[in-house]
Amino acid sequence: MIATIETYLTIGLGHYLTVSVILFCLGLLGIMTRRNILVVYMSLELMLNAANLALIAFSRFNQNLDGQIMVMMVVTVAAAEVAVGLALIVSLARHKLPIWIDNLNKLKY
Amino acid sequence: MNFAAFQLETGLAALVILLLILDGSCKQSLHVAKGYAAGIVGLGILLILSFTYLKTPVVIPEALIQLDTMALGFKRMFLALGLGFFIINQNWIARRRDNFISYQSIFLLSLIGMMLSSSVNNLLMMFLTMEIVAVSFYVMVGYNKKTEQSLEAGVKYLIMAGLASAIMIMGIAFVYGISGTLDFNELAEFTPDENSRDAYWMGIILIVAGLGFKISAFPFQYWAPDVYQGTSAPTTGMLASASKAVGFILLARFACAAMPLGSPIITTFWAILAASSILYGNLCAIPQRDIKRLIAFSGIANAGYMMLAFSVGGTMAMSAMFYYLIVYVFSILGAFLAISLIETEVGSTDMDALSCLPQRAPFAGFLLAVSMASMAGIPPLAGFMGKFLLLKALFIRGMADTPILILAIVALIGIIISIYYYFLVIRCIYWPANQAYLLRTSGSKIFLTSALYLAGVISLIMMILPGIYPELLLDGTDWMASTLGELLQH
Repeated sequence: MIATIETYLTIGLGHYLTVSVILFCLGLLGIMTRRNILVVYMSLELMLNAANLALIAFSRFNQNLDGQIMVMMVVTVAAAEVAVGLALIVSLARHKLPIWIDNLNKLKY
Repeated sequence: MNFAAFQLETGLAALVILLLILDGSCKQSLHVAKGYAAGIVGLGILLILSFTYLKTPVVIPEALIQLDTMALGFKRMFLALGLGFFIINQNWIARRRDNFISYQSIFLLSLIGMMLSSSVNNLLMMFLTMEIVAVSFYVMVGYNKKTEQSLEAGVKYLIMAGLASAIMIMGIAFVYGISGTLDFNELAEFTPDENSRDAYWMGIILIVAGLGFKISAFPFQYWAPDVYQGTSAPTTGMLASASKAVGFILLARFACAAMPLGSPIITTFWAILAASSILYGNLCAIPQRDIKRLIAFSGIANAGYMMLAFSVGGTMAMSAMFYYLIVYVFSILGAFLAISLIETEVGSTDMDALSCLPQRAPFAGFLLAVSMASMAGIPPLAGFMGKFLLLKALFIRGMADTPILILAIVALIGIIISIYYYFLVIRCIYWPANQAYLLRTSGSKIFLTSALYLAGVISLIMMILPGIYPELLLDGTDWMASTLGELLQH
């Protein structure tokens, strides 16, 4: 069978998952390498949204809506997390202005 | 919808709203005592109701949350534990001259999440209850925002817990994508085909990683010592007991549903996690000089002991794990009653500071000593029975299975190591090495309110009674584990 241009242009589950996994790994990389707490926190949100993309794609290809509901819950929880997280980071910034990860070194044996 | 499954939580939510209204409507000098009394009475009533009114399990197929025997048992445990920590929190707040409601309402809301987590029957609810608990803990860990240590612990916990939940959602996405369902009962009947098997197992391992963070099992333990040390003692106690219990309850339900526990490869997987947690936790606890940090490492080791049950599988091992978990959380309650007193009165959680306990607060010193002995597994106490039951389950399986026997021997070695540092704590209380420090800290007697005695007695009862008369608790945990038996049959 000859592969036509259409078969390459049809977007399937694999494409969505590839994008999702790439985003997820970028987020993970950001958490591990970036030094600014706000950027680390942004990377965290990127990971959550990568998972959301995977959930929506699976929901579409499974033909049931459980995944979509899950995404709604994840978005809600992420908003709550950001509210609390930013409050923490702001009160940290009041102690020492440049909010670098390297400054978090008071607690060790 | 299963209304019975969240009656107690609704009651608790009503209590929180009542406390918030009381806080707003009373004068500054009145509302602390009133709110405190209302909280204790409310939690007490809910605890009694959970034993008298809600006696029979209500299971509705395909409901998101179930009131099965396991849920009922753990709801009672969380209410008793919540009552104890409510009192300890209050003591801590009173000494800080802080606002009563702002900490306690967050604490009670996290308790709602914990109680809901015990009746989870769906991946969606698993994620939600875990996040209710986690978001409340973000606030509580970073609550003491005047000290840099608490904030640092808060940010560390925030980033690590956020990472864990992101990893868990990715896992849920894959498990849902392959199996097409979020329900635990349907997941138990599902077996992936040849093409999708790898993606399915990747999803399951990601979920276990997310939950492994909560229980601070070995490769996911890195946050625990720093966060435990940085935050205030009552919050550390909650993290070490209730938050860990949430992780284990969810892990028990999820692992029984989605993993064929007892098959060789799954046994090896859990055995490696358990053995490395036991050895890492016990060996790293030895040189610690800060009691909260020591409890963090001992908590990693205790998570390892409880994970032994997953490598064995079967209802008997699960029942032993529940027994161990219940005894462990109440030992932590007793220990943190003393540690929070030390932290507020002496201002340090160094091991040397414990030497003032016998003179200044003999009851708290005794409680800390008993809880350390219970965690070490000294025979008349309940901690011994917990370790005995887990090892019994392990040895029964190990008769036919050499790797399991090796695992049991590793666990025994871990227990022997742990006796050293638990008794080091007892030595620091009663036979301190440094006499100068003893003189320096000897001050006036610390006044313990009668409510603190109540919390101490709850902890003492749960540490001593099940040790002398194991059937008292063992019948209950067998009854609780019977729920998982249905999931395990598939």
